[in-house]
Amino acid sequence: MGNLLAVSTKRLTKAFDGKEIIHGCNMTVEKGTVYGFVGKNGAGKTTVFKMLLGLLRPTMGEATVLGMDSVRDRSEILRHTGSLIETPIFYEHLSAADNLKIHLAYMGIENTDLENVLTLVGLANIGTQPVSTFSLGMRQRLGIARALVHKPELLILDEPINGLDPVGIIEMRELFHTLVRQENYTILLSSHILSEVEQIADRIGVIVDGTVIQEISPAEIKEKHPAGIEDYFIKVTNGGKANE
Amino acid sequence: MNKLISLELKRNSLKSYHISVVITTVIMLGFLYLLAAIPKMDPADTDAELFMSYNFIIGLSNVVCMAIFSIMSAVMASKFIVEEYTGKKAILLFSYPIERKKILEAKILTVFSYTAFSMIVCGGFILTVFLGTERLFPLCSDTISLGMIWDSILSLLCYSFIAALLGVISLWFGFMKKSISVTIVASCIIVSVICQIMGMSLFYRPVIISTLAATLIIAVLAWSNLHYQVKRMEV
Ligand SMILES: Nc1ncnc2c1ncn2[C@@H]1O[C@H](COP(=O)(O)OP(=O)(O)OP(=O)(O)O)[C@@H](O)[C@H]1O
Ligand SMILES: [Mg+2]
Repeated sequence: MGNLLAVSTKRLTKAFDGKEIIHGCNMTVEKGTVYGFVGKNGAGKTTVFKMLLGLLRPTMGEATVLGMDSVRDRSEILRHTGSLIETPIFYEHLSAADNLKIHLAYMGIENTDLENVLTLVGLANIGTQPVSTFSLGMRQRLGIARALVHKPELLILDEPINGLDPVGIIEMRELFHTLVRQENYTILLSSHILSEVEQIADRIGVIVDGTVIQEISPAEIKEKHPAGIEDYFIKVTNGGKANE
Repeated sequence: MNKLISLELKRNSLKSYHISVVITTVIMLGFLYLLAAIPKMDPADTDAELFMSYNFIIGLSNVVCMAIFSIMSAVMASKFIVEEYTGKKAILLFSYPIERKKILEAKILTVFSYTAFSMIVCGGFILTVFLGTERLFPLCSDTISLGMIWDSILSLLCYSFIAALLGVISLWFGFMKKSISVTIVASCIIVSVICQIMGMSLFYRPVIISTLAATLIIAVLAWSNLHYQVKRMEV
């Protein structure tokens, strides 16, 4: 059972300066699926992702990623995971291809068809212009390319479609589907665009004030909340208030 | 480790440092001739007697060289290290599946060896040119001896390592505050203290050796504390 899970957290807790931002967070992501992580601003999505990647240490509880402990097996997890956290950071004076090359060298992987990966994310023929000249959406695309280029098993993408144009969003949706269906990737992504999450995700996790309060499939949402996913989101994130 | 260092160099170009090394070399060469010429400019000045010994003028030029190179080292450290660990940039560094301390070591080693090596090359070049012309057309009334050449080389080596070690120490200050300017200001302050000590002791060899030993110990402490900080850093 355990090896069917790409990510699982148990009572994961993170406090900053004594204040618990994430508490008792349990979530499970099955392998070979897309998991959409939604929640209001400041609910703790980015913080959870950072703990999964070993960028933050849990105050309590544990996170298991690809069967490994997020603190103890940090390097091994990073080797098999591609990530995009908030707005991606690059070596600004270098080209897209050079950024990917450096990334691959650190990942310990050679001989990847960079042009192919750049084409996948819609940056074909980007040439040698430095990343500092890129637009917001181009950076986002390059960030996704970097997450993919070393052929990981798991993608952890924090707001990957942020800043993409409508066509870009559709392209990414298709790319994510292809990766999961044909190449057996697992994708954990967060987004504020609920309609998109509904279309992309096999399962949706809702985080409210640092706790995942519900994990549900889009089909179930449709069934139980005929008024749509936005209505569902408002009800769930406002707790009992919407039921008054 | 070699691979990590070459990756550092791939994204941080050394070109501007090469240029500053060349400029420093030219200026220091001029400075050395100036020192040698001081007694000739004002024969009445009795203090100028000091400038009649190779030991003194080469010692002084080595100290000034050390000051310049240790500040260059701090500039380099702030670019290669402080900046890359500041703010969100650290997310990138910490996302690589490589032990955090290895990346830090590669960075420190790059800056350290570049400083020490370039200062040795710069100082060696100056010394060779200066002593070459001194043999043919002496400015200084002192005599060139094998022992004196040996002393100069030894002092150059010591100061080169001190310069590189001071870079690590100022890095520690800058890293604590995650600030490029703190790194450079710390370096200026530390280096002026060391220059004072050297000046007062008239480049007495035991003082140089003890300074080297002291900076080595402090730099090692700084280095291990940096390891600790980087290991625990959260971004
Ligand atoms: N390093 C930190 N120190 C103190 N508080 C922090 C830190 N990082 C995050 N927080 C707090 O944790 C909370 C959750 O932040 P997080 O970035 O995880 O939210 P999010 O769900 O990703 O929000 P958004 O949708 O706006 O991206 C916020 O209240 C934030 O202020
Ligand atoms: Mg966020």
